[in-house]
Amino acid sequence: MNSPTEEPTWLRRALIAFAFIHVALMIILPFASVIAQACSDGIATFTRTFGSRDTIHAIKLTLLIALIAVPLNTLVGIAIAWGFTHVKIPGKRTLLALLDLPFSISPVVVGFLFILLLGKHGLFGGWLEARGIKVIFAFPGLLIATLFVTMPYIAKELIPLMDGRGREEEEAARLLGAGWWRIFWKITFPEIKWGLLYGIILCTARSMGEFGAVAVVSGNIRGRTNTLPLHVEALFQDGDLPAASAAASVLAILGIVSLVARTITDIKAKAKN
Amino acid sequence: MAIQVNNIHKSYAGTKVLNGLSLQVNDGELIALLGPSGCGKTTLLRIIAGLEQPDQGTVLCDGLSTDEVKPGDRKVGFVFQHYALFRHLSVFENIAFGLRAKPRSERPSEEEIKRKVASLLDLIQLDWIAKRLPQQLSGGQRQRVALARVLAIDPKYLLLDEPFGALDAKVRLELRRWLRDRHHDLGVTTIFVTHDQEEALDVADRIVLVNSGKVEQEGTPDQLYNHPKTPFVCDFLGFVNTITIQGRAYHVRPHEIKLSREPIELSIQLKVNTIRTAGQLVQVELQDNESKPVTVALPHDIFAQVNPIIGETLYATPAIQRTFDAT
Repeated sequence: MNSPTEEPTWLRRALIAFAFIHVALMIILPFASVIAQACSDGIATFTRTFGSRDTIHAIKLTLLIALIAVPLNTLVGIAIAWGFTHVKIPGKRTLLALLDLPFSISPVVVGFLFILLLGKHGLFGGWLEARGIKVIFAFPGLLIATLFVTMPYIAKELIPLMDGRGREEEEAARLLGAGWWRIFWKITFPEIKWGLLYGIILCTARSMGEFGAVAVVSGNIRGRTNTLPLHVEALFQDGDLPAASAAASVLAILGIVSLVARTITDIKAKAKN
Repeated sequence: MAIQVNNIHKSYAGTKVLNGLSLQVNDGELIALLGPSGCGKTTLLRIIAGLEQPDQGTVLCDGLSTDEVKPGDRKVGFVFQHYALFRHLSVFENIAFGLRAKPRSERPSEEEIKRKVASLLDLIQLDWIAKRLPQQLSGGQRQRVALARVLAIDPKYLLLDEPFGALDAKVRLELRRWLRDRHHDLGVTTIFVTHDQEEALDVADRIVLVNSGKVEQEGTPDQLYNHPKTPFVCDFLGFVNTITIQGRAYHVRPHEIKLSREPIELSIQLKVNTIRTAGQLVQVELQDNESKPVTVALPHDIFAQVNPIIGETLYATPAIQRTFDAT
């Protein structure tokens, strides 16, 4: 029996079927084919790919960038969110919109902007070169591009949480004599911890998977400035499809792990409220 | 003088909330800040607590300006309308929070904390819920925990922002009587913000009635109720009829009107509309020749003497000649 506000049964079934087919075609099929391609020559492809110095370097580089970018953006994200919700800032809306900039402009443009700023002929290029600091086509450039692209994730996640109902509790704690550290740790943090974890997971996933911005500033020097996504592309360009697939499957598995982690934190956070 | 507020001005986004308000609170006094919603009373309380800065004016607590002492060092017990309990901490930890937040040199031992929290739980008659989380409590229980939490730091001043506003009528009445008795025992200087005149009259030693960011009138409940200085005060502290006799407006409460069949000096003719005899007083609803309603409340014996009948016309005269017209 349908309630008056419910769609007819056939329509509901058709919509659900359509959604499933769409997901299967657009996500599961490509994903499965990457894994299948990687496994086509058996374990040999994996040992060959992950035995190569360049692949190992790419994985290390990707992890190193994430290891620096994620904690840094966590601190910056908490600071931004705290500032936005606790300090009276004129033009708050405009600033909040600016925070979306890394989301809304193409990563390639971001990479290009950093080349224009920090490259050899860029605005600060001469200054940097005079001091022997190489940013573009080197590790600092990769890190800066990743930091920029992943900057909003944590702040965006925290602003609505910090803006919410916890404010009076912070005031109550302050009047009871608690210092800022105790207030943050005992009152604010328990309120935001699931959101923070969620933001960190998103930030990590993006920093490991980032291609566009990093590709522009990297210069694609194998074994030096190629991160894992860039290495996948390089192997593909070589025509070594099985090796590219094997390397890509690592990224794909990372993606699934972060998806599962996201889902768990989401469920935990909802259960908490 | 425990708290001295001098000429406070405060605006939000161009709207004036407090407009040169001054106020004194004596040591150990319980005053009610009474006023309609949006009159600035909560803002004033937050300024006294140090949670907001005034645009102009000063607040002195025991002679010390609020600029000189940080909010946390001022020993202000602030109770919020929506409790603001720490929702992930147990009742015990909520009450212990202020003790644990003390600087290391003043912090009591774990044993003393336990003893103090236990005595406070005893005071609020909730010793059996120490391990629960705030969300497992009723509204009235939460507000009692909030009170215990601020009492833990032995506050010099207690600031209560509509503390019972979110509770139902019966719990409100119980809690405010309880609060009044505790105030009597503890003697902490207390400011109680409310928009409920009945609550203010019931609890306070002194009422400060605030309107449009200024003090409209202050005094004992008796002074404000029986000797209001403006029509606003008169109207805010209970129902009032405005009846015009010989061109003058008299502001009289339902029990301050006499009814009779004979014309008396200074009276007006009113038609009896409805009579309700169920209650401590008999409520007689009348109307003048412009259909403006007038409510009169009579003791049952007086009602029996006058014996009004629905539809008849009676003479009404104000027993108290309260006017605010310039004379």
